[in-house]
Amino acid sequence: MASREPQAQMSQIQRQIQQDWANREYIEVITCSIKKISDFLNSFDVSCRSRLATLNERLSALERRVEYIEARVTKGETLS
Amino acid sequence: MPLIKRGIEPVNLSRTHVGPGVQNELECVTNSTLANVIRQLSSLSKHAEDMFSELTQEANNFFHRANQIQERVDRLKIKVTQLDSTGEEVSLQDIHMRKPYKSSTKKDQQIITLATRPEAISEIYALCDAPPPLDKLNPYREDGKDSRKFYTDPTYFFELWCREMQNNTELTKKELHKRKNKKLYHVHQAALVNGGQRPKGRQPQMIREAKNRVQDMQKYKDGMEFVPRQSEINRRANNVQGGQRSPSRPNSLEIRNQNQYTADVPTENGQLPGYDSQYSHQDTAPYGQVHNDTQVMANQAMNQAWNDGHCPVDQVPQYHEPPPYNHNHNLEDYKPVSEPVQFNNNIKHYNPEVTTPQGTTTKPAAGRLPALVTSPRPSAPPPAPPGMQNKLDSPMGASRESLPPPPPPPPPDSSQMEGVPAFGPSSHLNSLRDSPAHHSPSPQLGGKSTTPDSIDIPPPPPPPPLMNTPDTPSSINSMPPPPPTPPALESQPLSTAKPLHDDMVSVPPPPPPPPDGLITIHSKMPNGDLPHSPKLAVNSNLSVSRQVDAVSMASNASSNTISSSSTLKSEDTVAPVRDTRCDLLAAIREGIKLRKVEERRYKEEQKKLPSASIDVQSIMEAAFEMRRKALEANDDEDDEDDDDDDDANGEWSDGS
Repeated sequence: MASREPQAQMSQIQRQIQQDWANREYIEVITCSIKKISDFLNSFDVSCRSRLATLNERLSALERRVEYIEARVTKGETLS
Repeated sequence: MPLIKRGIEPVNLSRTHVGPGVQNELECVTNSTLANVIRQLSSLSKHAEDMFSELTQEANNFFHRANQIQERVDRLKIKVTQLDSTGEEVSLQDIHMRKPYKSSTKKDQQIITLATRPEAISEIYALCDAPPPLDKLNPYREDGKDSRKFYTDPTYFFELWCREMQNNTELTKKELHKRKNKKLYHVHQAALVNGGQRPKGRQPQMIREAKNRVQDMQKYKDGMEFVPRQSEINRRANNVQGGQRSPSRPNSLEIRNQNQYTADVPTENGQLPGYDSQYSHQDTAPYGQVHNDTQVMANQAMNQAWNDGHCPVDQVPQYHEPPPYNHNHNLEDYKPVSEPVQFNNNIKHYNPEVTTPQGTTTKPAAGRLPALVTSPRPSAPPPAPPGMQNKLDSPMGASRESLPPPPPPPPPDSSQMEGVPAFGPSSHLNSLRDSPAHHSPSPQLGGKSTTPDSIDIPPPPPPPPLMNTPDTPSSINSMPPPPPTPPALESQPLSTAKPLHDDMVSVPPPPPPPPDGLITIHSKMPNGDLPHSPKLAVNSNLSVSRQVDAVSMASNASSNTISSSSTLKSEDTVAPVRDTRCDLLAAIREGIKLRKVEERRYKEEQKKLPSASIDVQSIMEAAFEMRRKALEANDDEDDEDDDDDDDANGEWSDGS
């Protein structure tokens, strides 16, 4: 019995450690996933903002062109 | 140090405190770690949501803008299809009436402000410790400053920049105003002088005269003034020859008059008859004294010789002041002398007139020069000048009294201003052809005066006013002179000359009508030419246009004459100076008014701009606008300067 008990304790500790390792691995996966998500969000944000910036640029150019064309085409808006 | 925009909250997931009663520590740690992971996920989802919301909002803005553009493009499509290429697009009138194109696009500015701060950053900002409530100390500050700004001032750099830009703008504004004022001043004075003639040409002359004055003043300090002037006089005499009187007479007269003058001065105050005779001497005397003291003996001898034979026209400046009184007396006793004196007086008047149109500066300078001249010769208190009659009574006080009289003239100034052009030519002729010029300006008077017949001549126009003065000799001394001087300053050169002739009749300070100047010169030329000098006649024959050109030269000559004139002249000039000042004041006022208008417009423009005080763009635009104006003003000035130089050269060449 005496020999069995220590063996049983050892096996229980090992199990706990193994379980811990398993848990740690699981947590690691989750945290890695979280990192990936955050990375993705960051890259997505940056990419979105850069695209929006180019879009803003084009829109501004478009607005100016349209304004110019409007001024060119507009007639009869005279003083007094 | 990077600023973390979004931080996922729980860090160090597994680092937790395990309680003493926990049996399975590993499980405890694992559970807590998992719980923290869930917190991280929640934080992450929150940030993700915030991120997406921001992107969505921005995308929505673009969507709206794109929609607006789409609408405008659609409208444009319709408009463009409706355009009629065959019809006339715009009439000439419409082009002028068309609204100027004004861009409505807004530039991004104030990008980093509370309004544009992203939610995540504002959350982090909210976590910061608030600054100490230093603003509670504000009531105890006496300088009214915000106490908190000594601890933290987020607008410090913006205000710094804003102040710099505003200072820049102010500086450029001031420069612009200065330039505008100068322009206005020059234009106004040119208009006054020329009555619209050659406004540009006058400006350079004024500058040159001012420079000459400074140089002359320095010469006077050294006592050298007389030498160069005499040389000039000699030159003039040599050139004119016909007008011999100018150089020689002044000297001889001066000596004689000085002696008489000193003795006569006390008696003159109350005595009219004696005064007239004495006075004439006195007038000439002070003038001559100054010259004698400083003049080189050799030059004097030369001048005297000239005087004996001829009337020195050149020296007119020296005689200027004495003329009126002298004329009367001189006519009887020293006709030749009296004539030159008259010319001198005329010249004086004429000079002031010339100067007035160009600028007030010339007159004051003239006044200063005489004072300088007098300084070397304290014995001869320059009272001699036309206004000096008063001085004779009380040399210093009288002279000053004479000044007050000038005020009355101001009204005439305006009229004179108009008449100035007419006088100008005559005066110019006189100054230009020193000897001849004198004759020409007072051809009627001068010609008559030169010849014994001159007595007959005087009666014509001036007598009445002159008569008044003679009636009350004492009053004349003090009062009469002033009236003549003021008119003389502006446009009385001719008129003064007439009075001189009248003086022959015994009417020294007649205020003849200013308009007579040109006409009288032309018509009188023949009469006066014979007696005085053939050259004078020739000069008088010169066309009016030429006279105008010569005006510049005459003005220069007048300035010289003024400077050479004795202290008497200086006093006389004082009265004119006031007149000129009045003109300056008027000009300045005009300029100021114009400025105000411009400033108002500028302010209105600025008001139109949205939030000009806070708006960075508006500040920048204002600064750029001022810079642009300054640059334009510079270009304009350069161009004008070039033009002026050209004109001045042309005038000089013409005069030569």
